[in-house]
Amino acid sequence: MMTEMELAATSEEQLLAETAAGFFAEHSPPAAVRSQRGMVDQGPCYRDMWRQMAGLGLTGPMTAETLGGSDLGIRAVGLIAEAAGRSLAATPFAASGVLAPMLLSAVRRQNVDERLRALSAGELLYAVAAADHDQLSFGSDNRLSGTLEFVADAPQCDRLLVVVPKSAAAGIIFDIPRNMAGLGIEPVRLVDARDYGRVTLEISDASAFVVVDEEDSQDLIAQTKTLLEICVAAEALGGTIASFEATLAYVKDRTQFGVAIGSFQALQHRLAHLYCAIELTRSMVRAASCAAEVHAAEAAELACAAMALAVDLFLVTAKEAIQMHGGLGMTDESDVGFFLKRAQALACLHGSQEEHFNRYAGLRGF
Amino acid sequence: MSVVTDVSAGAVPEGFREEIRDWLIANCPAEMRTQMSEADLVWGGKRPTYPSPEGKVWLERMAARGYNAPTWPTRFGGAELASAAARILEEEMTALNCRPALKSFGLTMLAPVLMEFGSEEQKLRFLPQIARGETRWCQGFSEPGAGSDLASLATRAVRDGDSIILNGHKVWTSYADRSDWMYCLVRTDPSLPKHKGISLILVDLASPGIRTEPIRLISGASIFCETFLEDVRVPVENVVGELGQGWQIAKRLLEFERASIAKGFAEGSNPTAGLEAAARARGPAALPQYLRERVARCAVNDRAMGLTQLRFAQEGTGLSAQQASVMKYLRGQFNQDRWEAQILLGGPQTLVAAPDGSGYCDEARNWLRSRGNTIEGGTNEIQLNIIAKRVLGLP
Repeated sequence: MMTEMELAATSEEQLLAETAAGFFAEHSPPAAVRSQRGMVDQGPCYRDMWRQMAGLGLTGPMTAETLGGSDLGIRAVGLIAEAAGRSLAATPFAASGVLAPMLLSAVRRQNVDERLRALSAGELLYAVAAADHDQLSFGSDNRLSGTLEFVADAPQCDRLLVVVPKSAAAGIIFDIPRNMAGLGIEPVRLVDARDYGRVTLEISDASAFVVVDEEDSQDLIAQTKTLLEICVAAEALGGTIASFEATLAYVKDRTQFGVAIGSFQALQHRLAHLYCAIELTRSMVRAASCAAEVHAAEAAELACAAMALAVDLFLVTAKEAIQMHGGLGMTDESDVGFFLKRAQALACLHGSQEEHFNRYAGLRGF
Repeated sequence: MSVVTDVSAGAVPEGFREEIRDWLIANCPAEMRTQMSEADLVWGGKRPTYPSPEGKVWLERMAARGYNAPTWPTRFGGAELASAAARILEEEMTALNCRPALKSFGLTMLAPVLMEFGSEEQKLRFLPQIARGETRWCQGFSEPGAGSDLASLATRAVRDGDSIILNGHKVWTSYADRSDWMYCLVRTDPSLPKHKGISLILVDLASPGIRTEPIRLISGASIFCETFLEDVRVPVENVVGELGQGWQIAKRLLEFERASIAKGFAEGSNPTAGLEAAARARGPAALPQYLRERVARCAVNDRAMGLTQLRFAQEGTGLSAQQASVMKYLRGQFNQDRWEAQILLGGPQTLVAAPDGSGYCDEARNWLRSRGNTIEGGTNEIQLNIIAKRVLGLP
């Protein structure tokens, strides 16, 4: 099973990763969080950046070339998300670059093509709200109602995809315009300086917005979860690497007792341990995107395992970064605090390591 | 970055995979294509033991083709395969579930440095016997006073005409009691700084003055020995490389040791399979949440480890010395985690001792033995030092 997986990045993929990393370093470095958090009510202004990303071909890895996408696939998704994570760049990539294109590409209706083109061009923004059981109801009266908290990218979206589960694997997917009567989106700001939405739905007849019905939904709902996990785990990996690298540079530079603090074994061993954990996590994140790319049955397991490793390692690394930066790490002048805030937001929104381990056990049948 | 694995460039002949597969199917006895345990390993040597007659047949057939050392030149007992072809051989053996025909420290550790530092005479004398599994080697490095600080070793080596006379005490000499030869680090010049006065010498264990005693571990009987050297006479031509070059050679050899430890761990495709099966057998209702998490953590870590091994192999031309340290560090820990989970899962039953105090059950023995995984082959602290200095560039 493993021998077929090509985990090393190809030279084209390396180029893509470098292009993306260079773009984010220039347009949205970690320090940009400092100005974004000041813009309450406006949220991170990523619409312009998103258009520029479209110019570089970073918006449509899941969209066919005939619809303006790059069709680079899920391996590329992982690399772009990782690059964004390194810079702590607030982008609508997960929803508008990955999930919405994947879901809409599976819908064969004419007006959907237009939306896919607009998404690839960076002109249309989606949010994707995947409900848990009982959060939303959609019954025989066609009424869609309920509330979803902390929906990423919701405040600035033009359209909202709502996934309503009906059973363990199947559900119904709606595509609702932002200005629809009965759809309310209230912005909520978290410590990571990003805006989430409290989405309330009271739509009396939502049947016209159904783009995927229950029968066709099975693979799509699993695929949505796997892809979202790949985006989050890759972003967390990027954030881990960046905070690790910043810390490594700092301990080589900072002197106390007349020597670089990086010469102390107490710090060296912790950094070397983190390095090993990063190598391990990188392999799992990469494997998850490789498996999802070829629709391997193990993709769900690997994505779950990647979440378990990556989000927790991001938290651990961010905390170590602050500790090793000492007092400076506690100040708002240093960027390392931004990494901790993002790491904790990801852990709260997407589940703790224990939850992922439990889910992994379930997937493995124990 | 130094590369540990041999990389012989060269094309793979067309149809090679099919040819290898046919040969394996025709020549690997059915008994050698079943699940094996540590006890089934064939070590060769002058006093070989085989778990079954088929083990002998299998070793001889592989040796005749040079497949125990596929990339070596034929004059040294190899098959002169390009590394890509050797990988195909390995893949086909895995696919057909063929056991390795030979487990040998000579093959994985001594031979690579003999290739690099040995004289042509030494290579011709020792390598073919290693490739055929005819001599069994053990390692004489550690001493009671030289563990992590290996370079402080004190075994004296004094020149006497065409001989060198050895006096000293080696420990952790795995399988010394069953081996024919020992490659041994000795101090040939005590007047030089400690790293400079060391040489690597090849010692025939049948020489007068050598005594070995087994070491009993916290887990019971073990493969480890102590070896006492008292006025042991060794021909001077058995020194590998130059006198005083021993430390340089030993560092290289230890890289091969780490690589082989890291690789050895990853050879079983899923080391957590047994633990997962035990958890599954318990049933979800009877499996407490904390154990479920613990088993899943082991499974995820082991899986990530296997994937990292694969990624390193795909990204480079072989496992670098630094990567070997990373793997060795992680695997030692994961092995301990896994055995610990096994004990928790099995409960007190796994800790029941034999009434006469002679032994423990498998779980307890493996669990206790695994504590050594973060000590042997360079402690985890030493691995972290290596990573901090050579990978992270810390002062």
